[in-house]
Amino acid sequence: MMTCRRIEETYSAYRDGDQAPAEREAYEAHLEECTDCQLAVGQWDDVLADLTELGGFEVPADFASQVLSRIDPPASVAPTRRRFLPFAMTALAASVLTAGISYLLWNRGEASGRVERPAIDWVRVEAVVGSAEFLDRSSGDWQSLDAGMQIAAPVIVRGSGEGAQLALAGRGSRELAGNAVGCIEPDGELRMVSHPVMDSREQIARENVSPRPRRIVVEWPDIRPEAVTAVLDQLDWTEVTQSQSRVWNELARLISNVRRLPGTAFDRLQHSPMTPSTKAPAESQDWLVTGPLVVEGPKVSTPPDRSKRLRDPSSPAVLARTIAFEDEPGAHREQVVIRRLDDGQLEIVTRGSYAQRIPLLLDVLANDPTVRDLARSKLEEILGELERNASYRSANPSPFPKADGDGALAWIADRSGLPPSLVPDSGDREDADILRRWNRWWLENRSIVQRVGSSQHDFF
Amino acid sequence: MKDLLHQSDDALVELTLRGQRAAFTELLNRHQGPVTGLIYQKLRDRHRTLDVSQEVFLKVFKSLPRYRQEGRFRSWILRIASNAATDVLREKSSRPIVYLGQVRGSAPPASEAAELHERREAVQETLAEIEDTFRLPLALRDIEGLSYEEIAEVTGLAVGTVKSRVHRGRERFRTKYLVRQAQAANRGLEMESGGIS
Repeated sequence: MMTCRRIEETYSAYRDGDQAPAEREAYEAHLEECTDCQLAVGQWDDVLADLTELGGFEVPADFASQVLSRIDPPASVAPTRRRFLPFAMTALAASVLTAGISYLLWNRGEASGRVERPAIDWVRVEAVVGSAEFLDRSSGDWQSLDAGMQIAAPVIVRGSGEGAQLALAGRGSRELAGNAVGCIEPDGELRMVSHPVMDSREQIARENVSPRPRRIVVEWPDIRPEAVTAVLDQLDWTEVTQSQSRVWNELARLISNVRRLPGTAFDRLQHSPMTPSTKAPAESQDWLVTGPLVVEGPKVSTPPDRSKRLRDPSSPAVLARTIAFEDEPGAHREQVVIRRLDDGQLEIVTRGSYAQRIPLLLDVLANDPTVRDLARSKLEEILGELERNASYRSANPSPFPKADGDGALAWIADRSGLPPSLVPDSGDREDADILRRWNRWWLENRSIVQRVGSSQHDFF
Repeated sequence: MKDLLHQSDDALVELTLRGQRAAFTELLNRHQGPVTGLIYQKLRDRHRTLDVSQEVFLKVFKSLPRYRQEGRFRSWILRIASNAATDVLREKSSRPIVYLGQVRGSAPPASEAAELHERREAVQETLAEIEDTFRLPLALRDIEGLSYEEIAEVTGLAVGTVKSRVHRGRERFRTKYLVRQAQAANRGLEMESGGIS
């Protein structure tokens, strides 16, 4: 005979289906008869439902991309390293840096010929947010960049980290995607080249980083505010590529908090995810959404059955079929194309890590006025920031002919005496290639890295 | 190309070792919840959890060639996560990392209903009140959905011990959570009556 107390004691076993059949039968028979136990078990169920639904750790939407950006294939899965070459490019492209760096200014006075040696020879790392690496030119490897290190300039750094993202997000600078390759300028600036990622001036200025850098300049080479505006104002047609992805990061952060939306956003949604490392589309799908569209992105805290149902193309809510991907393969590592079709439907083509987020993003933008307003105000902030950056840039012109890797190499060649034979003759070289060439030159000419103790800090 | 969503963990490992980035991405998406959840339950520090979780996945990636494909990938990766979190707890002094900005916690989502947000906070705070011994098995079972056998494998406890701890963890959680709810309801009533008078 099952007692009320026994019901209470064996609830876990009942919940987990861990009872012998006879015991389970007795348990259920008692439940049918006993109102008190029905209430008690109902309360148990409600409490644990809350625990399951709300107790999970909220994984940031870009956690996976942060991890992937840190995977450096040549040093990782040895048996397959050749296959991971595209992976390395992607990792470099997604690298993110945040570093507070102070400078030891010392003019070596070794100018040879027309080449002006860098005025800064040593960089001391005062603070690192998240994790960052520098290129150890003596070994050719990326090494961990830690506070207290002193490295011969010019220094090439890259990095990533949730800390960086959160810190920056808290101060209004949001971008964390794209290449982050920093070079020390002859005049004492830390200049982010290629795809600069953030504006750290405010952060460093507000913190007690001492001695302070003279100036940090951040380039925004190819952001097109009008493209961003189009997303919200017209939802008409725009293309968002690497350095603009910060906008999507921001929006994704907003919308990732929307768990349940009341209605269906689209009658038809073309959704063509494509992994950035592949030369051809990994998969392309045309989703016909017939029910409420709730896409969670990479977060996993939703009940498994619901998550699976939504992700499963065989679900009655989502019909999928393969379609051809017509975009030029390999043209962009990250790409989002949004287009309003003649019949008023939206077409979304995504590649890269944003593939999972875009449907929800558009759902929210199109249907939820509150979130739409929030997103709009956030975008306005970003646009304002872009304008401020543009003003700053015009007042502080970059020495680079172009704000990309080629410009960096030309600058490096000019300032550091890089042999002319290493200067690229085309405009499309990858940063990694540039860095390798630069590294080779440095390898032949200098011993580079040293760690210093506190006794040498009076160098300032 | 077969849909990666339908591949087993072991198949994804194999594809990753053959150089398919998307396969590892799928593994990452599939297991980031349990990994971060486990680490968070041990460290109770959001920022450190994310840092350690990143390191865990990097370590997993590098260790894939040594993974023995026996259909127990989740247990394997969670053991790595558990060990990593334990190592962090052992380190009394970590590296001197200075954060340049104020690290933001998980801010209340603007669009999330206030009530839901309060419930989430209540759940998290209640969990934090439970002793470590019971919290981890409870979270692995009722939040991350692991089987008792998997929890035993990850924690190194006997299955019977895990079951006992999960049950006791549930009891503790229920008691504390209901008390918290009752207190919140009382506060609401007090405010209401204060407003009327």
